[in-house]
Amino acid sequence: MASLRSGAQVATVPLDKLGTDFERGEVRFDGLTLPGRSFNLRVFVDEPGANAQTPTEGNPHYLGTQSFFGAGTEHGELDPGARNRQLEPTQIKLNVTDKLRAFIRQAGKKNVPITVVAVDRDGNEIPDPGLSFEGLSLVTS
Amino acid sequence: MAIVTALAPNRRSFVAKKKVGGQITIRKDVRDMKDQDVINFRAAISMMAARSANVQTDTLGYQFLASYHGIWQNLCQHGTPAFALWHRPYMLAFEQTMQDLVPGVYLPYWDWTSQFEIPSIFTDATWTNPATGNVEPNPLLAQPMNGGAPTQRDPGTAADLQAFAPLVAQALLDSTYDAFSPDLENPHNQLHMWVGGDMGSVSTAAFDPLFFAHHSFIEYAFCQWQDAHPAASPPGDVPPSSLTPWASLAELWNYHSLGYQYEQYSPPPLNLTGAVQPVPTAGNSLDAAVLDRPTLASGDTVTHFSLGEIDPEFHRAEVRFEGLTPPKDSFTVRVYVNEPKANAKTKTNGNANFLGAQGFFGHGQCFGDAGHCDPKPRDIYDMRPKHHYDPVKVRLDVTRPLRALVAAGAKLDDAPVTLVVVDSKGVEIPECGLHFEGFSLAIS
Repeated sequence: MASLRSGAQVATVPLDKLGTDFERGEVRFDGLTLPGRSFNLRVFVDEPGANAQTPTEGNPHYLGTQSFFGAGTEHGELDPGARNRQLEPTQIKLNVTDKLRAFIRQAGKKNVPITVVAVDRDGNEIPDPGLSFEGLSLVTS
Repeated sequence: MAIVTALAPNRRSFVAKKKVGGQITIRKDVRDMKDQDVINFRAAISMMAARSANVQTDTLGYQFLASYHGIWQNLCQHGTPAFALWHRPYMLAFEQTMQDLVPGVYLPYWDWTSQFEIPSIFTDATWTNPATGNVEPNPLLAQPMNGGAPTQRDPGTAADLQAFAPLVAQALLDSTYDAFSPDLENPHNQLHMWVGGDMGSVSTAAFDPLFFAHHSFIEYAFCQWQDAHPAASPPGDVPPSSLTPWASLAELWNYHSLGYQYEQYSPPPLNLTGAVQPVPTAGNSLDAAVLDRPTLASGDTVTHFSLGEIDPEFHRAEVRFEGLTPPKDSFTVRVYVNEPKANAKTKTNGNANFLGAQGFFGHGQCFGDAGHCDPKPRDIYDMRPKHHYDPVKVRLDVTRPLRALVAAGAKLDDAPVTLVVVDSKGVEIPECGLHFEGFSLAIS
């Protein structure tokens, strides 16, 4: 399982299958291994060239930011059992309900790419944040 | 098999539960702490730190308590459904350890959705330790990182911090724990990053004393969410091992049984529910005709909403019955807007003006002894379950129908809201005996 590169187009999703009459919309990162460092991951829809300079405020293509609280590595090794617990793959859910609904209403598109951009707290891009996951899905309910 | 147990008359092994008979711990906002509260808090951390300095693995020492989270025990839960649940007993264990050393101390909370800087009790360089009379380094500023150099912070700007509040408010509106926990965890993560330094990594965060005020606030949000969603179920996918080393999910779910409560910060009001701002302006009070009567009559127009401009992309809309006394009988209240003459024959299906129906499950006949159905005033230390007739807040989700009304361009200025009461067969009940003290529409 390779790790993510910032700016990667990680999935293409068929928006026409979702409608707009949903209670909740989530971006789900499946089989995700929590990273060593902390960073923010911005999620864009239909914005294939997104990078750290791509606006978030007022940008209908911006769905939201998932913040990762890194396990940390700079203070020596953790005990092996603890380390294994930290590295167990998990599922992370990002609530994108309002922005996804608004985008679908306006865009009227079918298959659109999802692009993710990793930035530090100050908005500087992190090209290789050390994040790996096995799947990304858009789920409405 | 038979078991015979002999008990010593003055046994010490059967220790009574600590939090009984008025010993509930009240956790306060750091801005509401009295001088003595701050002294107690600093004294407790100082004593815990001293124990660790003597013996790094002392179980009442600060370093041992911190190590539950990251280095060296690494038991915390992040990115899993157990996130909010695991940290609940952790805060309690930390608070109880402080109380073993300084009776009466409590774990305060830092509400970073309304206080956009690190509270000064955590940033002061020194304090006067009453135990020694000496001016000493503030134990809340830093503690040794795993027994080494003092912890460090690198906080961001107030403007950046302000961006987190809407995320917490949004989480508080979630209807299930499965949605709430990750929605709360995300701004929680951002706060860790915002403080920076050792707070920015799981393995080191808890060595900074600020960690515990941050997580006390996370727990406060969890408690508020549970109070607002009393019917919410515990998550089904939390394996017992994920709550190590604490108690079982069943023991943790009901925080009211754990011996602490949160006191809301007042002047100015806590901003936690800031995103749940009722839009109505002129319609926020019950109409005079209804106020004159103690109970609802079917067909009452209880209020008028002046909604003005509404963003059709709003997240959630709720009709709320405030201060409602649970009824004796069971019935359904249908809620209509712009239907002032609504009655039991007024359409529900396909009627754009029908917002929804709230079912009430009545208590029924009194089967108790005299006074069983008469609630008595209670103080905040009363841990018994609520009386079945204590006032409650009832919330009806009207998101979809209201969104459809707004999208259709319905006129919602001075719009009457009419309630119709029917039984299970749809037959109107003119007088249902329902009493409530307020009625509002909350849109976020």
